[in-house]
Amino acid sequence: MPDELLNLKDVRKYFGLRGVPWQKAQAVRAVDGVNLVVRRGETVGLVGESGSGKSTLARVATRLLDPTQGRVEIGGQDVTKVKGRRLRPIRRRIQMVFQDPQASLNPRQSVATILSTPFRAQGLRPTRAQLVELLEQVGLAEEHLVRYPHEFSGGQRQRIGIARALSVKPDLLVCDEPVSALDVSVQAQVLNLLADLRDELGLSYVLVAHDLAVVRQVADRIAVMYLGTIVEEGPAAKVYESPAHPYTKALLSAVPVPEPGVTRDRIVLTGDVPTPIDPPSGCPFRTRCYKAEDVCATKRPVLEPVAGNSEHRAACYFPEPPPLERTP
Amino acid sequence: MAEPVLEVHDLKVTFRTENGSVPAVDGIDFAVAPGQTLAIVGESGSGKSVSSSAVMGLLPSNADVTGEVLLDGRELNGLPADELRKIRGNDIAMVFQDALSALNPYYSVGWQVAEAYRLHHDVSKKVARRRAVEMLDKVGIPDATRRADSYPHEFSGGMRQRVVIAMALVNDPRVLIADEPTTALDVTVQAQIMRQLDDVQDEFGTALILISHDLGVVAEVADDVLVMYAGRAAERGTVRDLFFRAAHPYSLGLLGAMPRVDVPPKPRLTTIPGTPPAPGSITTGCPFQPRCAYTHLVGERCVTERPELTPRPGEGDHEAACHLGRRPADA
Repeated sequence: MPDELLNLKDVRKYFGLRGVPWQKAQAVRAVDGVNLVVRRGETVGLVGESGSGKSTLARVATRLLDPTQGRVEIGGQDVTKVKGRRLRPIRRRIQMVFQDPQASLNPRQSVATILSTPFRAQGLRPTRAQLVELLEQVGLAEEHLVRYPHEFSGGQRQRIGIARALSVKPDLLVCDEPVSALDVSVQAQVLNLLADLRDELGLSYVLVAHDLAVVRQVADRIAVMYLGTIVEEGPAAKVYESPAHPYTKALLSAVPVPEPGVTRDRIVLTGDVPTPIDPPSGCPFRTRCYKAEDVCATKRPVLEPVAGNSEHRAACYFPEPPPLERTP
Repeated sequence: MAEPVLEVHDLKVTFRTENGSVPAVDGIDFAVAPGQTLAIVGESGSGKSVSSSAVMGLLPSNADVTGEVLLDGRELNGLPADELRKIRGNDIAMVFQDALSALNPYYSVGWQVAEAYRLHHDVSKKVARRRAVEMLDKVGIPDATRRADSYPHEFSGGMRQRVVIAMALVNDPRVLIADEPTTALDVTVQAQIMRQLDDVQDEFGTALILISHDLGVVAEVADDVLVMYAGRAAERGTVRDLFFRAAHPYSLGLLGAMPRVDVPPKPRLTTIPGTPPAPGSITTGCPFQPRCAYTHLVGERCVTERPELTPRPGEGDHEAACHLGRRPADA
């Protein structure tokens, strides 16, 4: 088995805007040139604000959307052009968990039917024992097989969504905001469940989330997106403790900390994220950046190693200096 | 604490439904003083939003509200609709989570803020408009004079929430109730809005009731906290009482369940097993008992006897409703 479960190469996804005949056709550049590798056993957190393109990227990676440009490799195989039925074997390896379990479960199907659908799509007939095993994996029980989605709470529905994704024994789960619709106490249960499943089944995750604390809890590696591009990428501890990109730094500083009296050196960004129809020239963040200079408007910066560490990379002309190493 | 501007005593809200009556709020008390911030914390179904709507007299006609709601000592509960209308938006204003549905897509934002002013002040349209522009500027809308003529759809989510806040503050309310004001917003925008609310509060001495599930926001802005569970108060105290001396197992559970962005992660988050009960499903004993990890230390009482708020050590009037007479962390 190859070590790289998912490899995205210069992926772009533009959505056409239907305009008026006398105007030039425009496009929303939702994802604008992203390279991302997910290796076996690791959890990659994809963070960013609304409109950063993180959900679109997740959908391109799972081949729910066709990329406008670029390559999607799953398990070492180029699947960019694979369509229809021939996608099914690929879907055994990569599955998706959606944000809103209310919307992603068919209200007219029992849990047994919901869980057996992926099997049938693969031309398999699940046994009852297999379905029960799936439910038990996510902390539910056999008695739940005959129930319908409305009989469950939000957290339980999300567990069913996870069980469904696990049914075909994938290597990689792409979770798009899996806990953002849940209450805090239930959110913690689902996050712990994801961690347990990773340890038991050797799963890898791409975790798309806007909540930076949630991502820190589970991710090994972080990719920070802004306006369709990855602006910083690296091991979670590095990105959270010594962010190099000004956007990452501002984003982290804006998260309130549940401890009274802790004052944070907050970098309050002005303005809003620019429109992805007409992104700024050069660095996409320069219009809100506290460090921007003329060079930032000229050419888009590329991801480069931070302090010589090739694992930790940032796309910035003026990255934050790493914290001083303490000498013993 | 200074003299409270708003006091609520033994507030109960029951909804009459086809399936019988459902108690959503079952006897809560709170008070907030000028310039102070009270946070009401709880999960879905805890009754936190219903309580604030009850204060504003905004509940539908199938809701029975009992108890006292005192604004400067004046009883609001039971006031006739036209009396209440003079107070709503003038003395007490409210900001909701979803700014888009709080704005009329058909009118410019300047017009809408001016309308809120004209409802309570007998002034010309011109004066009202000037006031609206001033407020829009105050909440951080750039180029307010020009942007006042824009329509809600021309604004981003954060800017819309600013418009709604401007509208709520245009009459200098004594009390502002903000129900999850930043939940729909990105974290960088949330930081801007919370700072703005703080500035406005400093300037006008507004009392703020912040309804939130985000303990990070609460830790940052609140003076006092009320933790609600299943329509009742589980714990109340100053923000430091809650975060450093949590006396209710539920409060402690919530704190442990919050992942943090500023420290390396714990291997596992503490969880509270199960889910919050449906309103009205627990009638005797402690509503948190089925999920509580400490109930074995107390025994039968948790099932048979409803715990009342009792004083706990702390800075101010720290109280918790739990039969376990000590902090769960010490148990």
